[in-house]
Formats: sequence, structure tokens, C-alpha cells
Amino acid sequence: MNAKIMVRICLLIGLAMYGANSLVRPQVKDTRMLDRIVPDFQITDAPASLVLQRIAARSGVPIGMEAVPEIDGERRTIDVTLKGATVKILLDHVIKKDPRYVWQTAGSVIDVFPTGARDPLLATIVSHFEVKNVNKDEAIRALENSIEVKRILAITSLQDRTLKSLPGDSEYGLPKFSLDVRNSNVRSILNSIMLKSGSNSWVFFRYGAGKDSFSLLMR
Amino acid sequence: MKKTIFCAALLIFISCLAATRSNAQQVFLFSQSSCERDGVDCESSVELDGGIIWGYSSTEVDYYASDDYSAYVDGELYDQNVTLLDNEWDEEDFIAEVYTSTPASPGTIYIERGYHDVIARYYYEDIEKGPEGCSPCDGCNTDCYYFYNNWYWSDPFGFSFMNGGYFSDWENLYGYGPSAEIENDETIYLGQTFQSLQTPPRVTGISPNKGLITTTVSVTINGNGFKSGATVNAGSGITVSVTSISGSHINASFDIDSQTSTGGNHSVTVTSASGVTSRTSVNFYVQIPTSLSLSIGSLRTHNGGSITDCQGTVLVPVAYGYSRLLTYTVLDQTGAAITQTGMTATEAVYLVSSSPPGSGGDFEKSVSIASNGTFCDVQALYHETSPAPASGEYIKAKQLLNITLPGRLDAVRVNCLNQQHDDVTITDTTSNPNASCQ
Repeated sequence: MNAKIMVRICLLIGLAMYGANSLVRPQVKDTRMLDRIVPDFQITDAPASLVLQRIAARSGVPIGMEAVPEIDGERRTIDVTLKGATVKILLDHVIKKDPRYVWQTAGSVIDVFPTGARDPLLATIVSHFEVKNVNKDEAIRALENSIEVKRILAITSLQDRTLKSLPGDSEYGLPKFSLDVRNSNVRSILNSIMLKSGSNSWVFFRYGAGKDSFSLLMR
Repeated sequence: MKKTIFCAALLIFISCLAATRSNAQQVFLFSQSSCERDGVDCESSVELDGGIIWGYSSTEVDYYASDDYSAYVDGELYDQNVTLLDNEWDEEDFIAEVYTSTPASPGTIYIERGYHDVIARYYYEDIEKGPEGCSPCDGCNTDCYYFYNNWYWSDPFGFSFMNGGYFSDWENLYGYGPSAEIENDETIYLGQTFQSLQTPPRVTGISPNKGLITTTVSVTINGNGFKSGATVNAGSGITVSVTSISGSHINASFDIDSQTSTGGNHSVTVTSASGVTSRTSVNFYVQIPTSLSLSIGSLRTHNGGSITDCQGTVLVPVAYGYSRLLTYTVLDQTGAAITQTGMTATEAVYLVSSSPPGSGGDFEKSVSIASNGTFCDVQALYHETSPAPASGEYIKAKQLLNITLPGRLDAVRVNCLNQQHDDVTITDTTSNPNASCQ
């Protein structure tokens, strides 16, 4: 066996180990996140979006949710009562109660989206998104003003009509951060903003007669 | 030379003795007397408490162990100019109390005089056999018989009473005792015993007279007779550290424990180094956050401008909608504002329902409370783009407000937040914290 073959074998073994580590690492992180226990969780007559917000707040596991478009003010609600359940059990329970959704992990975030078609706005790729020393609301406004997002909003006549309220949505005193990402979709950028700002959840949904309004609230 | 040194030493010794004597705690004397004769007990005492002369006289009549006899006691207090200092009649049977309304002056002679009035009551029913000449009573309880008896008693004051002959209905007998003179540093004999007593400290006031639980409050206690080594007691849960003492003031810090201290009045007393505790006390009130009063501002309309709080701080830079300023005041158990620093308000908002469905969410934050006991909040419903919320858009939520202090949390208010498209309103439901806020 000459030296060249030895080098190739070592290189292959190294690549194989690297690949194995790459595959294993996120699974370990996800498992830890999903195994967190929520001692006592109870909610009644609540939409899935509120249930997921509370799971995120109670467990500390960030959740981003794309809710199905609202249909004529229809309010679909579920009840969840579980003691000592893990985040995974809770998520599975919510999906069982409201089968319009699926969930999956995305790094240290859980993404929840409709089983059917997903909103193209959240799939829009932004080539370069950079903000410096901003709060979450300023970052979201910057994202909505990015060239790619503005273009799709204009094409689809979509408008941000998030219904906000005080005292919950005050921007005063929110933590500031900087972010620089390239070639990421809107959903992924929203997850990054959520993590950087210390938020627990975001919820996106379309509403209105022509589905020309959307709500995007991060808490 | 030796004589000179001896004389000097003697002078120093005498001076020291004199100084020691002049600095010695003034000893006041009071007297007690008692008697027990023919079923009648009586006693009298005079003492000085914090510069106030107190006199007590009491009589107990137990003649033949019946209540046919009763006594009423009154007293008077004069100074040496025969100025009447107190002649208040004490309504209590058997005990009279007299006192000076201002501190007594050393050197003045004070005179206490007690009056013991004895009332003899005679009922038919207590007499087994009436005197001759009277008709037998047929069981009624009217005074249909005359009673004949002789009795006599006297007490150490010189009171003496004699009853002899026939009486009908009620008869009042009374007598006067001789005055007793009391002078500072003078032993007075009234009856059989006397006793010496050190003047206890006297507490007349405290400032401030209230403090917030979990905090440390610097107080000044006013009074007289305060001397080095005195200690202050403010009841359970308040650790007192005395920082300075003068004759009429004690400065101290009250460390009010979050767990062991009880809310409400705590009696504050001062005890001298020799262990004599003031008979007078003042109250120090421990405040606990109990409720929140709310002042709701007028409705504000926003057409692209910012939403600001009570201080003008921008909370939302661009808004289309409505808001109101809310000013809360933290109140104690009596409904008084708690005007102390160190409190924090914790606000938790839980979404109840919204339209469009999916709007809104839960929220928590903490706010520092100003030294006047108030904090500001803002209620609003808005969009960041025009137009303002339309008919049918709303967010309803339940709000829990707690006041936190180091080591404790007090729940003080539960609100229903109703944020409609054209107004924002708030309802206090603390009386029913389980209100659904639908």
C-alpha cells in the first residue's frame, strides 16, 4: 500500500466521521429541546396559535407558526390538558387535536405550518438581510422592506395588517440586536429574529375577504 | 505639700461623688395603702409615669357577701397652689383615676384626695324577719319593711361610716378622707406600706408612623426620660437598631421582615437600661400592598402618530387606532397610598379571544413603582398602517397585577381588558379573580 492510498483512506475516514457528526449533532440538540417537561399545561377553547404560544412560553422552546388562512372569521379552538408532558408530546397532542398542522424542528426552533399549501411569502428567499442595533419590531419592518419581500407583497397585493395592542406590543425597552444573514427564506429569518430578540414565538396568518392582509406577531 | 495633695484628692473625691449623685437617675416615690375590715377592701396608690402623676383609689365592698352594698370612688388632684388639676369622675365602680394632664414639675407638692362613697341598699327579700310594727310582706320585692341594723367601718384614709336606725328605700352614705401630700423624693406614708420606683421612659410619638413591609425604615421616637442604654421594641417581625439617644428623642431603624412581620399596628415601647418599660406606647403601622386604584385617562385617537405613556415616552412610533393612559396607585390595608420606593409591579396579560382569530397573545412585564406609589400603563388597539382597526376587530384579555417586594408577592388586582375597534376599556374583577373576561 503506497502513501497515496493511505492518504485517500485517511481522507475518506475523516470525511465519514465529519458527515456522521454533522448528522448527529442537530438530532442531539432537538432531542434535548423536545424532551423538556411542562409540569402542568391546561388550556381550553383556544386556537392552536395561542396553545403553541403558551407551550413556547412555558417550555422556553421557541416556536414559529404559519397558521392556516382565516376563513370568514371562523374560530377553530381546541382544549389541551396534560400534566408532566414533554414538548414533543404536547406538540403531537396539538396536531392530533388540530390536524390541519404539522411540526418539525429547525435547529433550535420548532416550525409549525399547514399540512396543505404553505404561504409563498414565508418561502421567499432574501439574498442579504442585515440589521444593526434594532429591536424585533424594527427588524420585522426591515424584513418587510427588503427588496424581495416588497416585490412579493406588491405582486400579491398583500399588506401587513397585524392587529396590535398595548400593553403587550410596546416597543419601549425591547432588547436590541444585530443580524446578518444571506440567502435565507423569510421563515428562517423570522426564526433568527426570534432567537436574537429573546422572543418565544411568532405567528403568521392571512385574513380578510381576499386574503390580502396578513398578521405577523412576535412575542 | 502632703496636706495640699490630700486636700486636692479629697476635693476631687467629693466632686466625683456630687457628680455621681447629680447624674443619678431620679427616684420618685409612690405609696400604697390597703385595708380590709368588715368585708370592705380598699386601696390607693400614687405614682409618677413619664412625668405624669397618676393616682388610683379603689374600694371593694363585700359586706355579708351580698350586693346590698356598693361603693363609688372618685378622686381629685391638686398642686400646692390648690389648683385643681383633675377632677374627672371615673364611671367605673370601685376605681377612680386622677392624673395631671401635663408633666409634673419637680419641687411642686401634689395632693391627691380620694372620695369613697358607699351606698347601702336594703331589699325586703334580704330580710328574714321584719321589725315589729311592720306588716309581713307577701312576697313582693317592694320596700315594704323597714330594716334595723348597726354597722361601722373605717379605712386607712380615715373614712368612717356608721349606720344606725331605720332606713326606708335607698340611703346613700358618704365620707371624705384626709388629703395625702406627695412630693418628689419624699417618702409618703399612706397606710401600712410604701415603695420606691424608677421613672419609666415615656413615649409620645413616632415619625414616620408607618412603613412598608420588607423595607428598613429610619424612625424618630419622641418622648422623655430616654437615657443611654435604652432599647426599643416594635413587636414581632420588626428588628430594631437604635442609632442615637437623647433625652427626648431616639433615632432607630426598623427592619420589617417580609415573612414574620404582620401588617397593621405594632405597639412601640421604650425600655430603660435598668429594665423599666414605658407604660405609654405609640403605634407603628406596617403597610402591605393590598389593592390598586386606577385612574383612567380620556380616549386618545392616533392617525399615524406615536403612542406615548404618562411621561411622554414613545411606546409605538407609528399607530392608527385608540389608546388610554392608565395610572395605578398602590394602596395599603387602609386604602392609603404607599409612598415608598422599592416596589415593583408585575403585569401578566393572558389572551382570551381576538378577531381576526390568531391575533394577540400573552404578555408579561415588570414596572418600577414611583416613590409616590404610582405607575403608568397604556391600553391601546392599533395597526401600524392605515386605517385604524375596523368594526369587528378586537382583542380581549385578562390582566393580573401583582406587587413584588424582596421575598414576597402580593396579588392586588385582576382586570378584564376589552379592546374594541373604536375604544379600549378596562374592568376591575378583583372581587372575582376567576372571571372569564369573555
